[in-house]
Amino acid sequence: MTTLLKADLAFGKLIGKGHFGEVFLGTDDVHGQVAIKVFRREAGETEHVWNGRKDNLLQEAQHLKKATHRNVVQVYNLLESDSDDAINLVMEFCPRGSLQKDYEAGPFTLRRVRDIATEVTFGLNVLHIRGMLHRDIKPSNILVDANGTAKLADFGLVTDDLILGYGSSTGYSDHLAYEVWGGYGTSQKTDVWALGVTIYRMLHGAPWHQKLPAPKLVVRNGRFGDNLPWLPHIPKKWRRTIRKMLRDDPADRYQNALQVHAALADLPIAPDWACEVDTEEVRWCREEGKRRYKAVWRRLGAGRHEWESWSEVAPILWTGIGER
Amino acid sequence: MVERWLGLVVSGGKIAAVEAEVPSEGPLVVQADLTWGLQKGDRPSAYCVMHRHIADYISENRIARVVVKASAISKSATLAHLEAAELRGVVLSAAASVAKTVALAKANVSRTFGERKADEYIADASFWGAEVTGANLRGGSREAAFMLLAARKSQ
Repeated sequence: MTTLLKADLAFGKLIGKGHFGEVFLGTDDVHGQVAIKVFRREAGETEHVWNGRKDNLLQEAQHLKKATHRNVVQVYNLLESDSDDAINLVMEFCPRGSLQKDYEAGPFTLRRVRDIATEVTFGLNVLHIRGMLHRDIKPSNILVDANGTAKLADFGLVTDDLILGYGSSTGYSDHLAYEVWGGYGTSQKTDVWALGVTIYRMLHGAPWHQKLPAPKLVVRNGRFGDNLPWLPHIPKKWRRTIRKMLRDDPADRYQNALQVHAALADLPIAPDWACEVDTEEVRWCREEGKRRYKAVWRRLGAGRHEWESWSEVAPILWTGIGER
Repeated sequence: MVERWLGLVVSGGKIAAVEAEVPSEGPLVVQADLTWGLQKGDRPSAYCVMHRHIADYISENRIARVVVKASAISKSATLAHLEAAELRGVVLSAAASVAKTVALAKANVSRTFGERKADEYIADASFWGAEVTGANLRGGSREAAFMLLAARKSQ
């Protein structure tokens, strides 16, 4: 087998957990503060299987080290632990963490989603041009560095076999494209699909998204993008763009990250509503000049709701009660 | 090894980009004929995104040389002309950050390329049938491809 380097890494606090291991804050002599992802030997894993997995990881890491780009989390090294029961993947540390917490808090503004998605397409395009796929684009795999730059993380370390093997587990399979459920492999177009779902999730936030049927339960039925419900402030052009990323037929989608990038550039970001979603209420707020505009939607009961909107200078502009 | 060059023409908020293999003689082999639009919204952010996009495109596709159609004097400069010139500056800066870049003035090309003016070559379908091969070249992208032919001739 390939010999892995050994080195003294100083481990700090646990900063994350993923499908393939835990992530710690740490330091090394060359890069200073780093993130360390630890792949542990599993209970019952034979020496032969473990060595094979280490070889695969090393191959992948050597590949990933070449993926240097502003919008891709830099992989520095793959190191064997002293005890030989774990592999440490040493990566660039992004102090602002992932987008997962922000996603759980609620919808992002249009401007922020476009900025993040644009940066992600830069990173994704580089991976694709260099012959790699991400295979797991989601808010928790987009990290933000000290300058506020969004970066793709956690890519390339999974194979199609693993993805399909994880098809029934939680979370992971929610961004699998229609054709993957039909037994086809991953591709640039399945990455485009996953980015489409990620953009939808950022626009709506977890409180909204979690009320919907899990994609892993409905994507395989087809027309997933056509059946998505939208918050009313999301412009039609955004909806069309996301639906195109989520077409069942890969040939009908944007064919690569560059095409997605071009589509994002054409999306409007005004009016840029800040939106909060609660169980029985959705609130919007935006500022234009010296005026602050607000709107509230409230659920009154089964099939009944009301709307209210106003500005700070002219308190109640319009109210209404509706029934479905 | 035949080099890949990129011809760029800025018009309004759009950029026509033609990527081609450029042999020392014979037709260009067009690899890609693209249009890049400026991001909607505030211009500083849009320029920043375009700068990164162009620099990435050139470096990731191993473009050896970039030829940009230079700004021309206009007797009635409008805001649109000035904004296009701004974008041209962004394009030149991005390209020059990763590859050898030249700005060619169309008036200069007309004087040196051949017997006819540049616009006459650009409008001549038979000329293009002989000068390019490979991927389909849209009529609106001929000017960007012409920049590549003119740059090759001036070498």
